[in-house]
Amino acid sequence: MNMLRDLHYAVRQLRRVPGFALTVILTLALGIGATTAIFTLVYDVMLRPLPFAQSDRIVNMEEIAAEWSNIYPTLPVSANHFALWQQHNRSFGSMAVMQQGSAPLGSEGRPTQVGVLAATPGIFSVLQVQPQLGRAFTVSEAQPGNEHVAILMHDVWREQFGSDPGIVGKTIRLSGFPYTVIGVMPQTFHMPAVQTIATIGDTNRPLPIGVLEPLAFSKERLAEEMGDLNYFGLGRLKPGVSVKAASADLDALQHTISANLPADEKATLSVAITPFQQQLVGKNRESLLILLAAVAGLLLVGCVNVTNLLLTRAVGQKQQMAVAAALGARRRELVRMALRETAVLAAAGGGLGILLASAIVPAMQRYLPSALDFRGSLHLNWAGAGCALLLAVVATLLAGAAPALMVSAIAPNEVLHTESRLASESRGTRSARRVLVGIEVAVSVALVLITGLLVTSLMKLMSVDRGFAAERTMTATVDLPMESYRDDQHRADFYREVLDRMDRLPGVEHAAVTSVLPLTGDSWGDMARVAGDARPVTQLPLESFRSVSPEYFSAIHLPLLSGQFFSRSDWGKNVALVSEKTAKTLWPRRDPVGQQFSRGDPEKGEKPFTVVGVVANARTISLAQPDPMMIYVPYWYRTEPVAGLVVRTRQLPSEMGDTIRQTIWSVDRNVPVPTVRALGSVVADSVANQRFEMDLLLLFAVSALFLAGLGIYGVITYSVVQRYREIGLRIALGAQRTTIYRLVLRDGMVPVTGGAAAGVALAFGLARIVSSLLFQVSPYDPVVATGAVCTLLVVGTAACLLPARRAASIEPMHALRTE
Amino acid sequence: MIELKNIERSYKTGYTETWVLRRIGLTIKEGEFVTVMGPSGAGKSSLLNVLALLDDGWLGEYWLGEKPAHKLNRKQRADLARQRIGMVFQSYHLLDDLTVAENIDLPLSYKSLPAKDRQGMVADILDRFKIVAKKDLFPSQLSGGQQQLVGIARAVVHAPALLLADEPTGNLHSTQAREIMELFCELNRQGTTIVQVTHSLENARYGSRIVELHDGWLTRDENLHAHSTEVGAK
Repeated sequence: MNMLRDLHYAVRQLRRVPGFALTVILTLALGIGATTAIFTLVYDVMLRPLPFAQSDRIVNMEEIAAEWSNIYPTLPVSANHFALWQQHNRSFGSMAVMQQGSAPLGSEGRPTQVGVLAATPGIFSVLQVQPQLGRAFTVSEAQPGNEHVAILMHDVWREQFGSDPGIVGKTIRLSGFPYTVIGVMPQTFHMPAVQTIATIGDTNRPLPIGVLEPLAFSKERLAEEMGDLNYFGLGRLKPGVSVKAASADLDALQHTISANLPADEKATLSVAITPFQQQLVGKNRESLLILLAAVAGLLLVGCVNVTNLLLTRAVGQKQQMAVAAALGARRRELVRMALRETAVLAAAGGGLGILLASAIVPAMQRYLPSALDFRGSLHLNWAGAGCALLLAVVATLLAGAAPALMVSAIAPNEVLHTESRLASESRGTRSARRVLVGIEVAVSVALVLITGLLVTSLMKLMSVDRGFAAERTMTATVDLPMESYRDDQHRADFYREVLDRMDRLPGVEHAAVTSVLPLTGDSWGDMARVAGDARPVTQLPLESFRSVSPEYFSAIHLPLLSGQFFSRSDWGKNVALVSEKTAKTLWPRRDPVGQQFSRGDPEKGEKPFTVVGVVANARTISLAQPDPMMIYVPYWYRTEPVAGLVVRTRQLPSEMGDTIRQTIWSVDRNVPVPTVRALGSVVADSVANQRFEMDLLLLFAVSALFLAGLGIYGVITYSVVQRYREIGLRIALGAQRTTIYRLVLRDGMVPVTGGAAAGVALAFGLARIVSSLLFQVSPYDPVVATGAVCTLLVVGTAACLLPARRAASIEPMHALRTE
Repeated sequence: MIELKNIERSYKTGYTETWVLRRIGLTIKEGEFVTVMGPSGAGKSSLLNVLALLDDGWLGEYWLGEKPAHKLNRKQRADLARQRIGMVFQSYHLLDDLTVAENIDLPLSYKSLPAKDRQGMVADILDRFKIVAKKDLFPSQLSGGQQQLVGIARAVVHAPALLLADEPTGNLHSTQAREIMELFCELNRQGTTIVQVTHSLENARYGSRIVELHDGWLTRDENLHAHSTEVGAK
């Protein structure tokens, strides 16, 4: 009953001050909504267990080869080593290796490209899942020749096959080959994208997995003792076995493998075992924590603001409280009186915050970089809602407790006494409010500073000399069905025909094919053995190989430094171009043109490559760092089914998109062309992670600035109201308008300046975490720090000016009218 | 010292206009001690505000010495008031955060005076008002009479020619009120022209002249040391 009455009073009181109520509710909603949304993301990505039984026992297994660890700290698993681990380990209940790719699904008309996960049968026991329809792979199906069976993911079954209940046993076309469907996975099963060579967090946005197929190793592959390091390894630890113990177990096996390697492949092998979830989060951990800290900062600013506003209101209600106290209200009742408004405000703000969060979460999903998008769709779950509720309670306590205690401590006679002099706010309260303003300014400065650093960093990243040009250039990816394009020869013929037709198109300057489009990752790492170098293969320098067509360099304006590009007249020959870095490393102080090298582990009877030219270094793998040693071989030497086309045009690239698709389909209408994009967009997408973090931080920083400005304005306006008579007196005693402006500005800017200094210190304190997200910017950058402080000073001054103007225009006659 | 001709002041309240001062004509000579009396709402404080140059909304002529205040703009009036007028208030209006000495220094801080000169002037007035021992206390540590003493010290620290006092003893008991009025007499003897507003006839007798207002009209002007003059309502 009492509660209902309190609610009634609170609502009635708040309706009298709609501006105040709205400001508090919106401030709380913004803080709670943003915090809940980000918490939902962080919880989903970092804290919520993966949706597999005892998911804490699922670990990722990688190999470490000490000889290559300076370039690749970890390597994917080799089929040969995996076979040994599987047979002899004592720590794992089950293990599997897998490889993610894509393939055209269907054969009539234009097939759809779907993500395909080829995995050894152990995957089902590692993840402890079973198909909803049909069955899992058998061991015999993971043998060469038997592997053309498929398990459909639920979405593909629904979208492509209309949830056909009789799908099991039917034949589908995958990459042109017939596959028998043996099962359909349950709707709840979502397999995260698994990538190798640490490409998680980079630019490739892999297709969601739509089909599972068995991974079958040929005898030749299984015999490769130090090759074929290509598979993503997952294992399920036996109950009670720690990661450390499992590492020791596999390290011992690696030691055995190392000891038995042939002399020319000597390597020191070990393993890296990481909990699966940790592996998926990878290097995004820091940025997620920064985002969480930033949004918590925003919530803090919101709470401080609300506290200040409530404090202001409580001081204004002193008279009312004094009367209530004089009429016999006890401390408990005074506190309840003070808290009932806060509780209503928190409930309304919390409710609105949840609504806001439920709107932010789906919007955030659209901008989520692929590295954080391994869960499927984000939903505001009970944890998020509980978090918002908890935050609302905390905000209520924080915001309500201080004013309630202050008000309850009022002695009625003190109110009357102070009325005869010129003060209606105690020094303690005024100091508390200044400290609160200082805190919100400090948090805002820290947020603005860190955001400033990330913006500067991203600007530097985008303006870094990439070494290639992206203007007027379109790209397309092509996924050739394996059935029709079984070998390099067939694939090279296809691309030659496509390039010929592209070259004939009006407006096309250069058309080229490349195994990997710039800034979409790395794929083929191999060793180059210079003629006369007899070191074991593991001691040879590791290079990044690209197979490209001759026009590739002109298409992306990658300058030729010496020699010449290879050309159509070299068809069939083993020629190569190398980057300047490769040239200087492999042939120091020698002219690299004309030099020969062979791959560390060449095919039988393979002729060595002759270097025909040297091209400039560039940043085609990541903008953040120069490429490692690059070797460009012609596409007639090796061509993968998935490749990229680069087309430099004389016209707007956007006008070419459809033409490029039609040209490819004019050669073969069954080839999927999953993406056609301007190279500029590919470059922009390569910093999607940083942009996502920056955009969110920018949003938080602007919100914090707005709230800080509102807070300063509220406090100073209130202060002017409280000092109305004092200021009137000062004017009556001769103070000029400028003096009053100075007085009010000083009052407001003292906590702002103090807070700004504390904010810089706070941001510098976080430098260690922030620096991992920065590119060519020091976390102590003086220009950015000064900019952040100046921004807050401008906001602070602007927030003080209006109340200062009001103060300067006080009529002393009115202010001093006999009370 | 002061010459008012046809001073009028009104306030707009909704669609009606309320007159608080009607055609006031008044001359106050240098060295006079004038008491303004009248019932509540008669216009006493309004007249004092006009004299203090705190009000801008009046009509008529106001000469302060040789200066035509009616022709001055707001800033010039504020400058003139700063130089020549001191104000004493019923509620003392001391600033809680400032000590006695700092409160007295307040009007000096708004003039371009060197800090050393200001210190000297404050020290002089503390000495003259015999409150040196209290210079570091805050207003809340003083009695009402002592607070008003500080209020008067603040009003006269810059040696104004005209001291205006609005109900200066309104919040004090009779003993304290007597002391304050004797201090006013002393200041008046030393040459300060004083205009006070009061309800108390006893306090009015400390002055040399009483003017009385009713409904904004000046209805009586009595020189206590000569014969009384009745001013007829026009």
